[in-house]
Amino acid sequence: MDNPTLEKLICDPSFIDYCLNHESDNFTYWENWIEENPHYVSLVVESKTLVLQLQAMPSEEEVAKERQRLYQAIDEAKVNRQFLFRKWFPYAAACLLVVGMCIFLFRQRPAILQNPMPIVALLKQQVPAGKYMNVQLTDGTKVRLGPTSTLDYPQQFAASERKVTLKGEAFFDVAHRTDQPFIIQTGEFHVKVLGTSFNIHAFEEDKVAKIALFTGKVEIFNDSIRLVILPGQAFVYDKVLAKYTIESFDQGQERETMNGVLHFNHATYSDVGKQLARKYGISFQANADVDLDFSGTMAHENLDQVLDKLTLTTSYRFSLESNTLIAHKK
Amino acid sequence: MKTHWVNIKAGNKESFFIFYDTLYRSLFQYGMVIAKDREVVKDAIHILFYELWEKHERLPIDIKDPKYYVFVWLKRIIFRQLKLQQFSFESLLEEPYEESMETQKIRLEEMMERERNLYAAMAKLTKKQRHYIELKFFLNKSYEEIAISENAAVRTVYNVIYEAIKSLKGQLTSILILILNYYK
Repeated sequence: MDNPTLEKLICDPSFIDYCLNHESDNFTYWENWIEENPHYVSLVVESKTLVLQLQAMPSEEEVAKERQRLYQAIDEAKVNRQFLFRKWFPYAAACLLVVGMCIFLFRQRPAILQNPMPIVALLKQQVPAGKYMNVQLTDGTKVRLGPTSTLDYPQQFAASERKVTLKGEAFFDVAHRTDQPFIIQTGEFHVKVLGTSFNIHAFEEDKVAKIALFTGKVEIFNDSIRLVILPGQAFVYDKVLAKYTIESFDQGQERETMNGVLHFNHATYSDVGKQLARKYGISFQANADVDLDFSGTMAHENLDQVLDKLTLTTSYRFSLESNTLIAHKK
Repeated sequence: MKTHWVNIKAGNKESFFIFYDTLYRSLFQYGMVIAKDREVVKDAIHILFYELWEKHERLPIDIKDPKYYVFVWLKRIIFRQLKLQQFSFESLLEEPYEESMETQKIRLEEMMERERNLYAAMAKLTKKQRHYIELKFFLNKSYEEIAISENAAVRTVYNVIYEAIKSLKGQLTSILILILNYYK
């Protein structure tokens, strides 16, 4: 090689082979070459160092993959340990009883037994338009999320409370835990429950938010309000007027809502449009000129049938233009 | 580092992964010096952290340098793994001699320093340069193989890598001089 430089050496395949593989022909070749060109020794050492170092770097992909692998292995180990726990549970329980009696006798520093703080990995479920999604949380709580709704929840709940954040609508069947209240945060208010089932409608873009309670008891609160509603009652909050009312509601209807049945009661164009946009994945733009007062039920019809139905029962002709809902005066 | 160690002992998974992310590349480099086989090294590091988390409650708390502790741990795992792979009497004879604790510690610090510098220098390369370097050095591909897989001329591949090395050299010269004797 004439006028070798670090770059030239490192880019030479036979030189790389010399660095990595001490039994190759290239090894003998380069050893001889160094002997013949002793003034390049330090350059060769330098180049070799960099080759070895470069070769010993993990790629971004490898790092990410290995991290993922470790993460999973640790998670699985936890599950296995829980299994083991079950096997030894009777014995452990017996020991615990003895220990428990001791503690009862001494009753000192119960804090020692408290679990270390769990690491909170936040999970997010986002439902596209036209779809419903059933989610089961780690505590056994079942959530059915409506179209275009988002639920944020921790992978593991804290010991003192179970906190989730909802944007949109959902049916909650909360697992009963007296010492660990379940709190749902929405834009306007929070809902605190111990164990119940209810629907929440809390879309950011809607001017009304609603909580309809089927069973149990929930506490609704924000900075200014704090109240409790009972089964069969619905809490309806008007964001524009910042006022709420407690109403009774039709339980059958409310249950159907979370199965994709739309009920309208003197609904405006904006109400109808928003609901259809969520259920059928179309676009909708509010239009103050359309003066609509629609009451009726939309079950599992397809979009064409729904538009026909609206056209027949109102004084507007409903159609779709490039996936956007349009209403023309008849 | 020490704070994370204490947190890991208390079962803090977040600290555990910060510790992991901080040390991964250095451990990898260190492992490669011993094992010279990427898969062996990756497995060994995986085993190391798996065991670390399994035993986190029983980790010694009074150690001065947790970093050094895990490097020694890794070395033991690699030897164990290599023995599992191919046991022979020769390999027993070849077991590397142990250097004094102090020398080992100094080497470790040097190695981590180098790894950090190289990583920083690599980060300054273009995406393409980095990708080609990975293919050439990590995956040990020939210029022809890279040219085919990347749909480029062999000459282009050579030039990209040449330029990348030149840029690395510019940023690494000072360290290179310092460490000339390491791999001799």
